[in-house]
Amino acid sequence: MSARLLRTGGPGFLLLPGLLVVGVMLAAPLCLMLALSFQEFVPGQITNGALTIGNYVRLLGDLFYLQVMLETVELGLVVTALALVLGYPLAFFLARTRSRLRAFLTYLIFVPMMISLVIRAYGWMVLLGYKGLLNSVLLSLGLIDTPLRLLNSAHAVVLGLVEVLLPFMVVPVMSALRDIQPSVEEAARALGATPRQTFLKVTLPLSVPGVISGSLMVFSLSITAYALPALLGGAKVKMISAIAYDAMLVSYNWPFGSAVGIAMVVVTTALIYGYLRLTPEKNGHP
Amino acid sequence: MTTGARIATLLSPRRLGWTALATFSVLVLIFLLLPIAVVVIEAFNSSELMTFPPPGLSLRWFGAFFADDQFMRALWVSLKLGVISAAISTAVGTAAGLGLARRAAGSAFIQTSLMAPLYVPRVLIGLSLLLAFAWLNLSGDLWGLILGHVLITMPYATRTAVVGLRAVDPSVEEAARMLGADRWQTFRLVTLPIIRSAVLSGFIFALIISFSDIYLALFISGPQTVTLPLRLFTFMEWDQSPLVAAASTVQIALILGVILLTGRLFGATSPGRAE
Repeated sequence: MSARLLRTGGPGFLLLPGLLVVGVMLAAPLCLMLALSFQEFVPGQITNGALTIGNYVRLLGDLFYLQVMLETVELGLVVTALALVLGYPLAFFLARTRSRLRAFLTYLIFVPMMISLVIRAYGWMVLLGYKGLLNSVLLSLGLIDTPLRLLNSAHAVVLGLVEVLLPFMVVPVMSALRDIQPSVEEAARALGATPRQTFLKVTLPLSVPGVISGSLMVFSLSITAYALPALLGGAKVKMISAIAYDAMLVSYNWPFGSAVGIAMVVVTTALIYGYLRLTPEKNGHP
Repeated sequence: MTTGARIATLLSPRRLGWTALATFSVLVLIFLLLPIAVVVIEAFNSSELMTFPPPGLSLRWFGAFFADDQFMRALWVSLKLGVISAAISTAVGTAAGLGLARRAAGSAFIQTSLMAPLYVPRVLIGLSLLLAFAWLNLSGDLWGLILGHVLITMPYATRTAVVGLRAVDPSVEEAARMLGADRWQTFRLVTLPIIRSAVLSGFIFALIISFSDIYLALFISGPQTVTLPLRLFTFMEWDQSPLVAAASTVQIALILGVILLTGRLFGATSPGRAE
């Protein structure tokens, strides 16, 4: 950046490169996708320029696609519920423990986020594979005679997604719990509430915003997942992202793929809007 | 306290609930880390096929990884892509961070716009960039991929810059200005030295995010720009031999190495991004 521009342009100038990147690389491509989703598909030449709402009619009118959307939402709900059941107690423990290990244990939640999910998907293959850890353990315990086929199933996808998305649940819940003033809980105890009553009537309700924002994030990320379901679900699990991927890169029907993409944009924008409304500054924004 | 007495305390009725909670929490942490741990162990497997536990230990799969042309090319693409895009996004993000920090309130829209790449699912960024690059005839170009990675890593650099700038006392900058420094000199000689560590954190963040991305690579990589995660992804679909584990372990070692060398850790309030 040039010294002269910096001197004359003022702070607003500093925002321009960043806004340009977002405008050119995010906003413009999404607009292109919106425009293309209303185009007619012509095999071999993508589109002939004719306007149509046929792509949306096909997406929302075909039982197959409705089924895929329903299964995607169902899977997203299961993943979100499991992430909450596993994540809330962990978040509570990390927010309240006085252990010297607290910083280290909290850090362990962030370690997996730095590792590519392709690698973690392979980890699940090693755990659930035909000759993997789980089968080895079950065989040596004599609980099964022949290895189970655990991969390429919806269960494997759910397990993998819960593992990958768990930190997105733990972090907002943990920060909501940490924001509760200790005096509020102490007051409840002083007024005669048992630890159980204090938790159910005071702590839990105060942590609800964290639970909701974590759930919205996990749900939105799980219904848009592609890589993990492709690796762990095989041909058995078809999610909405896979429909978009196939339309784009297998059948080259870009207008239809765009319509699927726009449908996902609409749903996730609504979810993320809710997330941003509920998340305090320090989590959502700089 | 003896071990016996300690166990008795942990299991006393008053502490029992907390002990159960702590145990459950540790189990969840193990669940979170187990897939990564088994990959590292599997990388030293001596057998031809994926088996766990490994029947014997060897380094053969690391040898196979470093002898594989396609994996080596992918590793090189990933390193190049990571360093270039992280450098650009650190510069752009730091500028944006300065702009945000030095502005009066009321710029919520600008803030949200700058953070938007974090919240738009990666698969949608990938899909829309695929269309845009095809439109512009940029498909498979390394610079397209670099710009895509600048987009997804920039919010991290912006955020760490903003956090770093909170530590800068405005009166120090004002003093420099009063003593005759212009804005650029003030930034270079006063502000930058104070936020240097935050800027470096932003760079490391960006590097790690770029290095582990799969979604953008899936949609906008061409034959010449296959990244390591993409190579792993396509390889894994038909071959799950320990070669994947060895390649993964090299990637994990690189990421941990960068973190340990620079002493930079992920901030405790970052939502990060994975799936």
